[in-house]
Amino acid sequence: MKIVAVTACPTGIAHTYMAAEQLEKVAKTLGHHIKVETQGAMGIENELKPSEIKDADFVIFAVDIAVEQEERFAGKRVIRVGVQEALKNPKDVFAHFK
Amino acid sequence: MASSYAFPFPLSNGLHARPASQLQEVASRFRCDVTLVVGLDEAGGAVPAGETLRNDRLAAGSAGHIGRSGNVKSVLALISMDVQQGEPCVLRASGTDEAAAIEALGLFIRESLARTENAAEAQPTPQSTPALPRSLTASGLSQFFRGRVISGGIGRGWVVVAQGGRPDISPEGRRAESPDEEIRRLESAISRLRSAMTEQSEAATRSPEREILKAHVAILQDIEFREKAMSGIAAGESAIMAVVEASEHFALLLGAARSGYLRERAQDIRDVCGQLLESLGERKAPNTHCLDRPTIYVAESLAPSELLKLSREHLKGLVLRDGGSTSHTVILARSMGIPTLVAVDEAPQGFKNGQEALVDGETGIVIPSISEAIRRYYELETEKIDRLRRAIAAKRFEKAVTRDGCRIEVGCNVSSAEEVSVGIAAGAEGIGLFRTEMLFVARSAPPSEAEQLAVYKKAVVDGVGHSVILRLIDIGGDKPAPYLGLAPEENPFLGYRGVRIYAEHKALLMTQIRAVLRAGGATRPQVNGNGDSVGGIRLLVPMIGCVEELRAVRAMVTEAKADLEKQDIRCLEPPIGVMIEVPSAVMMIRELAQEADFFSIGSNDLTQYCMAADRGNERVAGLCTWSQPAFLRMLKAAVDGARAPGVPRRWIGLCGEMVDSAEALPLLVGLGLDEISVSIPRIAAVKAAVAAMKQSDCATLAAKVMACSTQAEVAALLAAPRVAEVSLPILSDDLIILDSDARSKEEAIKVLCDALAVGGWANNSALVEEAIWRREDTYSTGFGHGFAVPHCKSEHMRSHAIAVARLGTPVQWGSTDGEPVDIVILLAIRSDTQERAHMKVFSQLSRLTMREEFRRQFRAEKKPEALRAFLENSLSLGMAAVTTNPEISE
Repeated sequence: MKIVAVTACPTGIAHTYMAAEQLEKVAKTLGHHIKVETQGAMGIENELKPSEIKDADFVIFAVDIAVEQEERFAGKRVIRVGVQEALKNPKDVFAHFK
Repeated sequence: MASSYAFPFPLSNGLHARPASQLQEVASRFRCDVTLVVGLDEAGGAVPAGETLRNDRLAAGSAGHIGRSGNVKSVLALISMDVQQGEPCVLRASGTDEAAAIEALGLFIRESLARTENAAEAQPTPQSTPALPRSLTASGLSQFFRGRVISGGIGRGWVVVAQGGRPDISPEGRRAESPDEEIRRLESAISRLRSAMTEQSEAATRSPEREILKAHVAILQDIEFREKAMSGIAAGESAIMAVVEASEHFALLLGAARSGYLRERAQDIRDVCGQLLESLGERKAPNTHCLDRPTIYVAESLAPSELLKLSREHLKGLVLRDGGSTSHTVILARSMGIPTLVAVDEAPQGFKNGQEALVDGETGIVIPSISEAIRRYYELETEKIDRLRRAIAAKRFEKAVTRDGCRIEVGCNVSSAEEVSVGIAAGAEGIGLFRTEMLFVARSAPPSEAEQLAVYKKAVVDGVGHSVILRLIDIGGDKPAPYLGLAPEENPFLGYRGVRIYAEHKALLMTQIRAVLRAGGATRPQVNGNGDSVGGIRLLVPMIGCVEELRAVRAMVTEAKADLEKQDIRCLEPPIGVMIEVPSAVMMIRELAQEADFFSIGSNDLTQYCMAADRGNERVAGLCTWSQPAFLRMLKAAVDGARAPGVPRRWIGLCGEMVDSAEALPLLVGLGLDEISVSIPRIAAVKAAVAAMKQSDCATLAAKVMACSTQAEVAALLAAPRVAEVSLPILSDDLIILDSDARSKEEAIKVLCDALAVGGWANNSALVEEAIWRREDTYSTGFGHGFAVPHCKSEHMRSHAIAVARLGTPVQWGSTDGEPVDIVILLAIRSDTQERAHMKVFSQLSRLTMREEFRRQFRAEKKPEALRAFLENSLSLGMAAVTTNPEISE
C-alpha cells in the first residue's frame, strides 16, 4: 500500500523525527511504501507533493499539535494518532487500515 | 482654649524616626506644650488629651490603637505612638504661643512632611518569587523561608541565633554613686556623644546618612528618653543601668509596632544607647558570638561592627529579618562574599540554635533544617557554582577581544597601592583609576612628597608593566580635608572641588605632582607598536570643565619637572589625561583632545551633571542613572567628538558604576571605547562577557539605544540584547558523563543542565532545567529500551548542545515501556535562531535512537571521547561541521 504521513510534536525537536523514523521502519517491515513529512522546529521537511497525497491509499497523522496545511488531505482516509502511540505501538497504527 | 490642627497622617511608612525628629524640631521652637492625638471616634470627637494608655497598649501588643496621644517634643513618644498612614491626627497646643506653634506645625505638615519620605523607603522592593528548581523541590524540601538576596552563593552551617535583649553590663557599671554624681555622668556623656554625632552628621556627604545621624541626635536629646533614664537614676540605679533600662523600654515599644520600618528603628535606639554606654565608659555588648564551626548566623538585625566581629572563617551564611539593601551591614556582607538574605520574616523565631541550616543565595531561600536529599542537591549545586567560578577565573589573564576581533582593555579601580597587585592578579590589564584622594582625607595634615612617592612607586612596581592612571587629588566640599580649610558649601558638587581648587592650593598640588613625576622617573615606560607608551604612570585631572584648566595643570607639571631637573632629581613627565565628567568637557572634547594625551570618562559624575541630579540624593535617584537616554547620548557625543575627523586620536577609557552592570557592557563595547575600568571582583567576568560579544552587534545595539526616548525603552532594549554569542561545539567530552551517580530523574536532568552552564552552553542552568521539565510535563521523554531524550528550546541557551549521561543505577523516568532509564541524551537548543544546518543534528540523532544497532553501540562505548567520536560518525559530521558558528551558518 502507499501511505503518506505527517509527524509533529510539541517542541519539534525530537519526537517528530523519532516518530517519522519509527513509521518508516515499520512500514518497510510490513511491506508498505511510505513517505513521512515532518513538521518540526525546522518547519516542514520532506514535504508531501500533491501527487503523492493524491496517490496515497491512506494518510497517518502522528501528531500532538495541529497539522499545518491540513486542507491538502481533504477527502483522504486519515488515521490520527498521538506521537507517543506511533512510537510505542507503530504496528497498531498500521493495523487501522486493514 | 487650645489651638489645634487636624490632618490624616500622610506617610506610607508611618510616623518613623526621621519625620518624628523633624516634627519635634518644629515643636521645640515654641514654648507651649504640643500634643499629638491620634484616632478619633466615629462622632469625630478626640479622646482626651494627656491620656497615657499608649505605652501599655503597645507593650501588650493589643489591637487598641484608638485614641492615643503623645508629646510632640519627644521623638520617642511620637515614634511609640505607631501612627500609620491615613490615621486621623490632631495636633493640640496650649500655652502663650500656641497659635503660632499650630500655624508653623500645620505649614510643616502641609508643605514638608510628605516630602520627608525617602524615595527608597516609599517604594516597597518588589519581591520576585522565582520557581524553585524541580530537582530541589523533588528532594523533599518542605520547610524553607524566602528572603531577598544580598549576596549569592551557597552557605551551610549550624544555626546561631543572635541573642538580642539586654546587654551584659559589668559589675562596675552596675554600681551607682550618688544620684547627683550619676546624673552628672549621664549629662556629660550625652553632651559628648551629641557633639560627636553632630560633627559626624555635618561631615556626612550623603543626605540619608546625615538625616539618620540627625535622627540619632534627636533620640539622644529626647525628653522622654531623658526622663526615663533620670527616673532610673532617682531609683538608685547607675547611669549605665538607667540607660540600659531606657533603651530596652523604648526598643521594646518599637519592636511591637505594626510597621516593619518602625520595628527596624528599635535598632536605632539600641545603637544610640550602645554608643551612650561607650561614652559612659561601658563597653558595648553587641551580638557577638565566638563561632567555632561553620555557622549560619540568624538575627533580626545586625550592626556592621557586630558583623565584623564574627569569625570570617566560620561565618557561612547570614539571615536577617531587617537590613534593607543599602545598610552598611548589607554592603559589608556583599563585599565579604557571604551568602546573605534579608527580609526573611521568619528570622529569628523560625530557627533553633544548633540546627543544620542552609542559605541559598542563588534562589533566595534559607532552609532551617536540612535532610540528606537536600544536602545532596546542594552538593551538586555548590559544585556547579565552584566550577563556574573557576572556569571564569581560569581565563582572567586572557585579553578581552570580541568575536569580531575588537579589543577592549579591562582595567580596575583602586584607592590604595595595596590593591594594585590584587587587581593585576585578578586579571586587570592596568589600573584605570587610582583615586589618590584617599591618601589625603581623614588626617590632619597632607601626606609629604616622600610618603606619596613611596605609594606611587609601589603602585607602578606592582603594576608590572601595566599602566597606572593616577588621578590628581579630587577633593572639595563633599570630601573634606580639614587642613585645606575649605568651607562647607550649599552645593558641594557644583562648587569648589577637583581641579578648581588647584590654583589656591598650589603647594599641595606641586607636592603631589613632584611625587608622581619622581615615581615615573624611578620606573621605565614601554612603547607599543602604535607608538603609545604603555605601563608606567599616567596622570588624570578631575573635574576639567574648560581648556584653561588643563593648561594650568600642564603648566604646573612643566614647572615641577623643571624644578626637579634643576635639583638633579630623576623624573619623567607622564601623559596627562582629562577626566570627562563635566558636560562642558564633552562639548569641548575636540579642543581638549588637541592638548590632552588621553581621556577617562567618569560616568558617575557625568550622569549627575548631565541630569542635574545629585548622586547622593535618593529622591532623584531615578534621574541619576546611566540608563537615562540623555546621559547615553552624552557619552556617545564624547566618544564621537574625540573620534571626529581631524581630531588627534586619543585613548578613551571609562570608569564608574555603569561598567559593573552587565546590561551596560554591550553599549560600552558598541561605543568603541579603548578601555573600561571595573571593580576588582568583576574583572574576569567582564572579560569573559566581552569575548562572547561581537562589536558590530554591540554597535547596532548602541545605535538603537541612542534613538530611545525614555529610560524604559533603553531598559527594554538592554534586557534582551542578544549580543553575546559563543561558538561552542554541539558535542563535547565535557558534556558526556559516563559515570553519573544521579539517583533520580530530577538529579540526572540537573547534572546535565549544570554541565551546560559550567561549559558556557547555557546562561542559566536552573531556567534550562525548568524548560526541560515543562516539556517533560506534557509526556515523558523516556521512549523505552532504557533511553530518554529530554529536550528543550530555551532563550537561556547560548549555543546548541547535546549532553549525555549514563547512570550507574537506572532511574524511573515514566517511560512508555515502564522500565527505568540509564541512558539520558539531553538535547538543548537556542530558541532565538532559525538556522537549520545544526538543527539537523538533533533530528538525525532523534531518528538514530529508534535504531537498535545504534542503541547497542551507544551502550558499548566506555569512554567519553569514544562515545563522542561514535556520535560524530553516526551523525556523519566532523567536528568542524558540528560547531555552531552563526557567521558561517546563517
